[in-house]
Amino acid sequence: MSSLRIGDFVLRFRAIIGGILLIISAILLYFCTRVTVATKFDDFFPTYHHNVQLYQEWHKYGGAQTLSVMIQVKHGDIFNKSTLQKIQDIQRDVDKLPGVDHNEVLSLASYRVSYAEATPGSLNIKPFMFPEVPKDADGIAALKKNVLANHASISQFVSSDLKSALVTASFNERGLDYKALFTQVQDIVHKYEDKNVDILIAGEPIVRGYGYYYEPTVGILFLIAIGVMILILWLTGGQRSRWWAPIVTGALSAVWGLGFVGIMKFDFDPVMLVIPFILTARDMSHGIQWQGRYHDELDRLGDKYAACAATTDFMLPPGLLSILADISGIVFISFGGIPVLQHIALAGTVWLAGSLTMVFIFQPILMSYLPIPEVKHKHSTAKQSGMMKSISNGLEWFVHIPTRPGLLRKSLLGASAFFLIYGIISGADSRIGYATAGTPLYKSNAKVNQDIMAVGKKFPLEEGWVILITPSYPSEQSVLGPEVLRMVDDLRSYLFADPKVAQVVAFSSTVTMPFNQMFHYAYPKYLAMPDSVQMSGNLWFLFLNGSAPGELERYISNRMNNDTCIRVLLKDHTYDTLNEIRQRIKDFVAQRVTPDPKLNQVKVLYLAGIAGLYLAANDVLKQLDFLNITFVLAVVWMFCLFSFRSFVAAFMFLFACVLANFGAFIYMNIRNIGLTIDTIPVISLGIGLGVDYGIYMIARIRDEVMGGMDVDDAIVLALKSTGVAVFNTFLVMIGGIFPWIFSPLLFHSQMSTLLIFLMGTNMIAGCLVLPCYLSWARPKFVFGGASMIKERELKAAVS
Amino acid sequence: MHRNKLRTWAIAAACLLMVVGAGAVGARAAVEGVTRTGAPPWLGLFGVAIKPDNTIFVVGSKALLLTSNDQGKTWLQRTLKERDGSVLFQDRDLYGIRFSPGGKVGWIVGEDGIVLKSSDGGDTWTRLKTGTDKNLFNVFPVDDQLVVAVGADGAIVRTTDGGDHWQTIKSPKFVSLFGLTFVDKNKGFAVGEFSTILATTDGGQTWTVNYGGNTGDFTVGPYFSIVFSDPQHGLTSGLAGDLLVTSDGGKTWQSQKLPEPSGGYVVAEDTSSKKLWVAGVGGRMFDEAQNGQWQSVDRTAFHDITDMDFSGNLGVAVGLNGTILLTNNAGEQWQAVQ
Repeated sequence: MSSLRIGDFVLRFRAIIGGILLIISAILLYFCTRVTVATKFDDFFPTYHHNVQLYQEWHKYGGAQTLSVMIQVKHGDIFNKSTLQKIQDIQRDVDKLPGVDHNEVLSLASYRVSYAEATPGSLNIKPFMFPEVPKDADGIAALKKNVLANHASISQFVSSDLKSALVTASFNERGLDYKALFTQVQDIVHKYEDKNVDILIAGEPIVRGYGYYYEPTVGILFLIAIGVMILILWLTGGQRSRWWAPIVTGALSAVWGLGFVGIMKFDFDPVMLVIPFILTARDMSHGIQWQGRYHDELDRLGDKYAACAATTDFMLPPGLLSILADISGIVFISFGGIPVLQHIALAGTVWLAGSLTMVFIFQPILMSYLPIPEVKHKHSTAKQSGMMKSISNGLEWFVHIPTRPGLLRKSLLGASAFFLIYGIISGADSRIGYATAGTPLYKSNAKVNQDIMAVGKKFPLEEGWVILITPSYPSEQSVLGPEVLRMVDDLRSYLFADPKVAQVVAFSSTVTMPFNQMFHYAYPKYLAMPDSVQMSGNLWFLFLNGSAPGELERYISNRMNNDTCIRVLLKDHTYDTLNEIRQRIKDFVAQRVTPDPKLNQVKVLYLAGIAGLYLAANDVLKQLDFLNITFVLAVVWMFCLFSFRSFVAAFMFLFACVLANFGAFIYMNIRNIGLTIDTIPVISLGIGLGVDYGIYMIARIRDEVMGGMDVDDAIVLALKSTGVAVFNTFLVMIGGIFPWIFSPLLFHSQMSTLLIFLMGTNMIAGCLVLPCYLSWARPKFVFGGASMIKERELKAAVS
Repeated sequence: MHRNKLRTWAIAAACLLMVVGAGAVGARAAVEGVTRTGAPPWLGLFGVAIKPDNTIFVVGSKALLLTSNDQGKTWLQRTLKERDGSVLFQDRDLYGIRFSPGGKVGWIVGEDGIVLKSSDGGDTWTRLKTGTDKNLFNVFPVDDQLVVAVGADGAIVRTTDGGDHWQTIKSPKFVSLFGLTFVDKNKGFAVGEFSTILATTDGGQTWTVNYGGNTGDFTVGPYFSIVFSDPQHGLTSGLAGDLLVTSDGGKTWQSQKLPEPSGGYVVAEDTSSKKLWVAGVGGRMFDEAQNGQWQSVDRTAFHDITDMDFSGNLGVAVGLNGTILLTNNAGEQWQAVQ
């Protein structure tokens, strides 16, 4: 069926179609109530990536969700009764947090943090400070000496300046209640902080938890943004009644989108709240466009049914194209295999499809049932003040810019070409991953980042795992084999040469070598590999019997001794650090492991742990960004080609899309924003958002020329009518996005600024640059090509 | 005549140029390594030797050699080649370093029977085959030709031709030997497990039990290091502050105690001041006062000290976790190298 008849079809069966849509909406409304606001950590990383699979397979070595609580004294050091007691009390309170893995709560006060002591005839393993805190000065002095003498093994828990101590805890990710966790952690901070002691918190659970902390503020911002949009809608469209129709269709689209999220049981991360907001604003902008055209048709035809049908016929093709561009902007981010992006892509697609249905099917039905919108007040040109006359003249001058040959038009086109090239270069140079040690979700001076920086200066926060798979003991190549242990220690030494590596924790250096030393009178020249696999096994047995349950499993997961985990603790998770470490491990394996015949049965797998997960995301994001942009542009090109039946049109819109949207990369590079899991969906959406400004404009110009109007007059008319509607749309969008600049989340602030920037560039491209080009180049697809002739014939046949 | 003078001057100038050129080439061919201000803190340091020209040599884990010729301000880090393969394969620990009197010939011993020799004052080192794969903990060059090393499981190796050939000497006790010294080219002592002191009177060819050595008594600890300040007066240290001294050349030994029950892994003599030093567990250091009493020195490090050496006012102590301590005033004050 030709699009030219859909309007009639919809109105003929409006009761049934409208009823079906309302029933679907009611069902989806129910599922909206089932939406859970939660963060699922696993969803942020690409499931198919080697690192993620490695992490899933070796989850037994701990979770990537590690909380770090740093107790820092302002004066003196931690070796006083009060601070030592706090360390113990905090350790106990952390052990009660929801979702904590009780085997992974560690600190100076833990029974699992211990040292070996040799006495004549025996080897004793003693915790540093368990079960009691030292009672007197002598006891504290003895503890301090112990810590100093064994600092290499306890550096993860006591800083080298002795002013800070760390309590760490891992959490079971599945079902982790970040909100409850955050609240209880804050309680711990308030309980134990005093004039001399600061309690600072870092770690992935707290970064995600802060999303819930700011939830009320973000919620208020959300409502303010909605209010602003409605206000602008009223100001720009309120001269007619039923101006609120786009709000209805926008709300119903949101119901469809959220309802789908509820059906699929996707978790709704509060940080990503800006995305559904953009989609809702987007839908409202389509509704406004539709409403604007409806008013024009109403004025022309005088009959609401005919106006509804005609508006649907005119608006559906560009609207469909526009929404398809929006969908393409978001659907391709699912290709990366990152679950949260897949959820956003699917939900976003349904949301936008709902928008298509609501605006172009339901809105005409709604308007056909409602009374004809009355004009509440008209502008009287006769009574314009001097200022209004000046503005009016200014606008009149503005709308003639594209049609006025001369320096201004040439400059505009020239500047556009430059901007286009600069944008492409910026896009190729876009940064991947995190550029700073903290989290880019929040401002650098936000407490969460201040804490992360402070903790990161004293203790490493990021952990990557290298897993060895070997034959079982008593093979010489088992994880207890001297040559394997030596290789692990060599890796440790090799990695340490990189200043980004804070510590490397492995069985060989943490247990075997110290135990070998202690077993031999603590003579330092025995801080070395045992000379046989049997001796190594004996030391392993000593450790097993002297340590707490679960302690050995941090290093070697089973009694067959055929796998081990080497933990590489990094100072940050920036893109450069992670890639450097991976490359170093790769070089080490190539130069040290592979050529050694004594290690020919040893497999080295890397990189798991939180560092490996971030690396996986970085690997995918670069490709995803390129693929996403390519596909979006390809879709825009293809749909424009079919819609306008012209290669020139297709390429014209392609370049306009690039011109308008690659400016995002210019902005991101200036602001040092990288492509991360958080920023990619927003950027992807942004690419699809503004392209319809140009589509609506060009479609209108074309329609008027087909109707017999002169080309320049058509451009001026299109600017005065569609251009106004586009501008109103633009105002509504940026009005709704603007409040997000004040969000406590830097992510929201930066993304909203980026989107406003994108909307602006799209509007300039669509309303100025493209019409300039049309007036200057006069392409045939607008001005009398074969496609136009065919379309004209089709229209004549229908009418 | 005039022509002959000119010819002579030309030849002299050419010779001078050749000498200068060779020196420049030699300088350019100087040892390669990484310059740093201290030792890598993740590596253990096990041996130190100061040459007569005050160049400091330190050896440690993973074939590490550090040298300093500016009294410890900067260090040149190298990885010595102790086996086939790339630099990443050079991972055996080096436990001791000594230079022959005169400082031209150097000796390094380590894991798996490693012995490395330098004939150019420590610039280049060559691995020698000794016939043992036991860890060698200490080495003592009596002169450029006669060198003895001791190690795990009673290992004793000896060369009399500057390292071209080595003998494996049978120890009277199957005990690990940690320390070694020679009073002269014939008389020497080795110490080790089970409070064993071995003695030799023929330059290390044969050894007898001088003290201890009861391998059935597991309540006695080892002795780790031994030094003789003169042919009569010797000192050895063990666990828990145990010292053994002799004033009759080893005929009899008397027990002494450090002021703290701290293990002493190294004993050394500052030959300039004639002061004896003991250092060991947790960075503790003790020196012998003029009245013969041992006194504790203020601690500047908390990691085990493994070796010490002195030359004039310069003293160096090394230990685990990259510990290097320096003194420029004969031990009045020590500073940690960062």
